[in-house]
Amino acid sequence: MAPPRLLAGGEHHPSPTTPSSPEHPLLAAHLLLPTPSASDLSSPHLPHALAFSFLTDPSSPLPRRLLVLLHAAGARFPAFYSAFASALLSLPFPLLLPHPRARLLLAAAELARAAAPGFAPLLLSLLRRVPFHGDARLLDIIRDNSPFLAAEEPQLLASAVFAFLRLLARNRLDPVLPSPRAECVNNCEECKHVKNLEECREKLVSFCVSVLRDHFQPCSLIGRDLVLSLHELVLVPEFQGLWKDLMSERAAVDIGWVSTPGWCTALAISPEMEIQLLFLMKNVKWGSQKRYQLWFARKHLMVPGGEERVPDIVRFICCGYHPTNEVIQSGVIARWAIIGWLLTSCSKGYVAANVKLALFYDWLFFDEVKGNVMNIEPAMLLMVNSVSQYVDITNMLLEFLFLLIDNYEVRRKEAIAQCVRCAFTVLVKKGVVPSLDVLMCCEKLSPLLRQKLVAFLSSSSPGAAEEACGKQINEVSKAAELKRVCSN
Amino acid sequence: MALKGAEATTVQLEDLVPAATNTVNTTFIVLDKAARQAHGHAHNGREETCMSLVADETAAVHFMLWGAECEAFQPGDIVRLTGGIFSYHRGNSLVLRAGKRGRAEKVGEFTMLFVETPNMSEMRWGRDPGDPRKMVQEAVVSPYSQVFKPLH
Repeated sequence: MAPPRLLAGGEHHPSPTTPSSPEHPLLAAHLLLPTPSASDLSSPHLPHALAFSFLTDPSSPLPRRLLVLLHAAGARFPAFYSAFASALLSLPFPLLLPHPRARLLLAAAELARAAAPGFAPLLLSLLRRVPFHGDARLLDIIRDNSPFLAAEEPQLLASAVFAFLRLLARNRLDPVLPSPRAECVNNCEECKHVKNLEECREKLVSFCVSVLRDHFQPCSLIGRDLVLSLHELVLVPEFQGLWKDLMSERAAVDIGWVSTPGWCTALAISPEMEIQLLFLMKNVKWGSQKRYQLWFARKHLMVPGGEERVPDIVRFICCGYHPTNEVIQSGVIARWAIIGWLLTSCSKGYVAANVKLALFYDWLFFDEVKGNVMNIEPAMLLMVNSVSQYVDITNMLLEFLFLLIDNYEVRRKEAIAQCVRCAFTVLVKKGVVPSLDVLMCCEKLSPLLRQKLVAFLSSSSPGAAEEACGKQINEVSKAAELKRVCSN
Repeated sequence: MALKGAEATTVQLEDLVPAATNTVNTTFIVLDKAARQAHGHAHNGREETCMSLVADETAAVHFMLWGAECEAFQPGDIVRLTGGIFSYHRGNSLVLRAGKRGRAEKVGEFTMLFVETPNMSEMRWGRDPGDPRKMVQEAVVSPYSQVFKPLH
């Protein structure tokens, strides 16, 4: 009888018996050790062979002998657990068949229960796959271990909270129906009882709220994107009380000053999205991007719930990938251009608004000492580079920025305005743009916005505006004179 | 006769030369795919075919998908072809295909660079005057595919 399959794939995928198949290392080890036992503990093939047995054994529940063998090997060889976890991680998740997929979650639960080395990367990689069929078990694993995680793996706990908050925020905009149940070939009980997170929304919400209340310290690792997410969920009743408390303790404000680390923004997009976006931004030259954009959109955006992921993608581009000067000068497509494409491809108004918020979010907390200019650079370059051909985009973004300053958080309005002024100044100081003339003296820009910008930059800190524009600005009413000066 | 072992070597698309042998091993990315066509065959019923544009970093070419391949491969897929054939199909259209003995497999997605010109299917080929068994490029019919226009 042919050995069971791990991955979906017909005759036009590499056969598992050929080395180019990702299934091959596991299958090859299985053929060498078809029924791994205690006598195989020192075999170099055991991690892969045992992983194959874990994923394919048809009996339900998983036979005890496999668990005993896992822990015997782990106790004997410190590197065994990690090798076993890497074997599980080596399989492309989207192609995993239903039974191996359910078993992968069981294996992750077992490794987490035993706090075995290698469980954290495995759980992190599964968190990036949310939502998927059967993802409710992931919540159980994290919840059952949360006190331990808070103490020993704070980054993993923060990651789980962030991944779940993003899922809730996206689903609030556009509830995605549970993916259809794929049939398990073994028709086993485990697979039948697999649940989706969408079916246990209340459990998910209460988990997030309780971790944020009980373990706020690890959650603060998320940085300002935690505030962004909670702000998005503020209309959900369960989050309202939490939000009020965080605001009154000023925790939400303090955490806003912490830049969200890149690993965190990567959590909210799938590994395939990350690989493809990075390929675009590192390898594809200007002018050759059209087909890649089309493929990306077809695969990731034109699917249920796809457009709702664009704000997360924009956060990833702003905070999760900062190209080196070498890459910037190599003629590849720039981050701002990718964001411009994503923004203009949004058909839903509320998604577009969240994309703009994602793009400007770091401006609202920008601080010259702690702020990273690479987080705010894409928004500036998109505004500046759109002036010549797509001035509508520049107008739209600038208008949105002023709306944000005035309305995003009325209580912090002046502080936000100061941060945005600082952002403009630093962008000039660091040479991202030679001066702000390109906006302040731009004929094509809506006159009202231009006036507002000039007034905004000169108010309260005229020095900054002068420095930024490189011209003396005394009064807003001298706009006409300003125009003359700048057009010289 | 070709050297023994030559069958195992991998070529880039710019190296394709029309020949009646099933010896093309190469990897490319599918750029575009036309609507399917069903052909009636008197002897073996209907076999679906579908034209696609594929490319690597050196050149593009028209790749003809047969039967289940039409469904299996989508634009953006990276495909490895073993034992393929680059020859004239139905008169004058020059296409790459797996043929009966060749095999096309999806090995990846998206992460491959490509060029859309030259297109090896848009060349006029003639017999090499020095060696009539060989074909040589005579002229470029079109720098880009005339079936699948580049996106600009």
